Amino acid sequence: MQKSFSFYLAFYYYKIILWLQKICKRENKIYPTFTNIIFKICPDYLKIIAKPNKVISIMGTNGKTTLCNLLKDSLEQLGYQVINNNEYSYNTGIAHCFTKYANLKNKCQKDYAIIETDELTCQDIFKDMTPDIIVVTNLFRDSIKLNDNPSYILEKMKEAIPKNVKLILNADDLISSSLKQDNTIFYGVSKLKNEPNKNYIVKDITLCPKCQNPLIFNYIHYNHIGQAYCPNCHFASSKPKYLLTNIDKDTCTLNQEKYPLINNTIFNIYNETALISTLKELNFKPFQIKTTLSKINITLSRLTEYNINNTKMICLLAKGQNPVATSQVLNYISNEENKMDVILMLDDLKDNQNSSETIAWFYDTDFEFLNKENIRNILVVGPRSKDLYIRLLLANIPKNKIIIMLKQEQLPNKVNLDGIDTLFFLYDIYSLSLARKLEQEILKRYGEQND
Amino acid sequence: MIEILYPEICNLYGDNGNILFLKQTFTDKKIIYTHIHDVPYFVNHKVKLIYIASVNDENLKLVINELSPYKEKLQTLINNNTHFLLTGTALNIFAKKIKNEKEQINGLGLINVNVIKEKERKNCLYKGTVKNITILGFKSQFQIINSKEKALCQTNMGMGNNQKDPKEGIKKNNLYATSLLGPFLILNPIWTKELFKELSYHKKLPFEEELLDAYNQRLNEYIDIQKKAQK
Repeated sequence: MQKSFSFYLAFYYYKIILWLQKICKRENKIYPTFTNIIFKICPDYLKIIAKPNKVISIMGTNGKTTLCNLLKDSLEQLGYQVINNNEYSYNTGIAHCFTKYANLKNKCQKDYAIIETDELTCQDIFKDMTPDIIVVTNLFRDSIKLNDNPSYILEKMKEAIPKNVKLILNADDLISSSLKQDNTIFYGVSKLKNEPNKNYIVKDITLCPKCQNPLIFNYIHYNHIGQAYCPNCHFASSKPKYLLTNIDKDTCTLNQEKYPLINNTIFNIYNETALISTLKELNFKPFQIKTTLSKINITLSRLTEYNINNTKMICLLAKGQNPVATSQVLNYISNEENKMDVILMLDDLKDNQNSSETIAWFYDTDFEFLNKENIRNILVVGPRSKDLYIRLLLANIPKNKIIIMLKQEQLPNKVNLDGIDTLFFLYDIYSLSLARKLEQEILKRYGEQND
Repeated sequence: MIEILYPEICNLYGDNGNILFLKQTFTDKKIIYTHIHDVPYFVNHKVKLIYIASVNDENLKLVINELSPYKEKLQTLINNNTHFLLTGTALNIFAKKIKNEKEQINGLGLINVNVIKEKERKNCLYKGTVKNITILGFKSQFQIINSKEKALCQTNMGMGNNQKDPKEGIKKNNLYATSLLGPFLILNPIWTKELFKELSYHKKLPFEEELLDAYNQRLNEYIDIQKKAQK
């Protein structure tokens, strides 16, 4: 009775907050001061709040937002009502999401919840709710301030993940695949045709987890993602139930079935493999999955493309402080053979607000990929541009190719599209609105010139 | 020769930058990379500098085990003024004890230091002084250090070895250890130049002007942050 009272007190309190947010047109924002009060009133709120029929939790250092969006879009295409927590991956964000979609009698009429879940604090979530499925994309080193190192995060996840949950894990990631328990399905990507062998700075696992002898990788897609074995104790990567074996221009093959290819970057190939595997585990038929995949895209905030007088401007999210995610974007750029300029606006503006920023991650990031003939200029923008300039010099990129500017506002006037086919504009997640503004100024500048 | 120990596992938190900078300065010809289960080069050869970068808790035990047979040799090298540079959590390897929630690990015991792992993470920008040189950097750590050794530098801003100790890092003969993370050598070109002189390198640092320019910008920012905090 006491529990019920505290729950409904928290529930109606937050319904009022949501109603006020709606009036103020701030419906999708989360104010931690208000959401934290939910758990002060009712510590096990997540246990009682109404949830959709199926809850799927998505975790992992990289790709979880993209996978959440892809899965949400797919299920909606299949005709289901889906809710998600819009990247608010702490218990507060999840409480916000479930409360928003529960009616006043604490009933939820939705079919699926796709819940992006923070790895470090997942104990706060899983102590009170067990999702039907947990998908883990990968584990890598991430922001030092937030995540420490992958083995630390792995331990936190091992302690928190409920024993009876169905896990969908990446067989090619020896770190997160060690979360394996009874009900586990693996997915993976085999060695692909014409895949270049690149040497990445960061390999978060190099030794056998059983006997600490050096692992031998049969192949590596990026960083430590690939299939490995230990010649000493015969430990090996798990064999995937769902294996993507081939990609063509527009299609990929998974377990002998062809599917439309959403995006040809290796990290999005993994996202798509995880997506198809999850849909298969939800018992959708290949024809349903194929139809769905042909209708969905990577979310616009992560990749935007413009055409300006026959020059492409491609704007890409490159999560600052996250060396593996940024290296993947740099790798993608380095695979392009066009004549190009690259803008790097990677400062973490959130971190910069109150202090100078940690730049240690520059040295775990493969800026060496930008040392290419076809890259004409690299424009380094933001308060830490002098530090990034040094990093580029240490990657043996010639001085005369690098242009630095401390103030972001200087960028539109420094952009020169003449003589290049592509302009890549890389920005940090906390610079999204600034990046959008600068993109528009660049477009306006060239639009005005055309006039 | 410069020996870099276990770069395949001792490489966290951007400490790779130090390896990259050593490589740029001294070239690969003068650098030996020793991997796990190999006999360290210093056991049978003369080395000028031994560098170890940050290591996670899981691999810490492995590295301590690997180096245990060579503990006496390492002690002799420290006594004979061989240079050591330990960054981030690498100093735990040389400590006496490392205590966390679950267990107590015995380190090599080559420095009179005990490490305590706490629950709360401590993030800070760091400014300190050694001789007349200002050291800049950042910390992000769960651990604190109780040291009875001489310090590497005196703290002006941020956390020292622990919340009460304004000293930062360890200096024992020519062994330098710091809890500062990341590309310490790149972030502190003036100190690095002094270190390299001790290693008989008297030329300009690679990209010295650019390093000093970035250092001075950071120094001014840190001074501003300190002033704001004092207000």
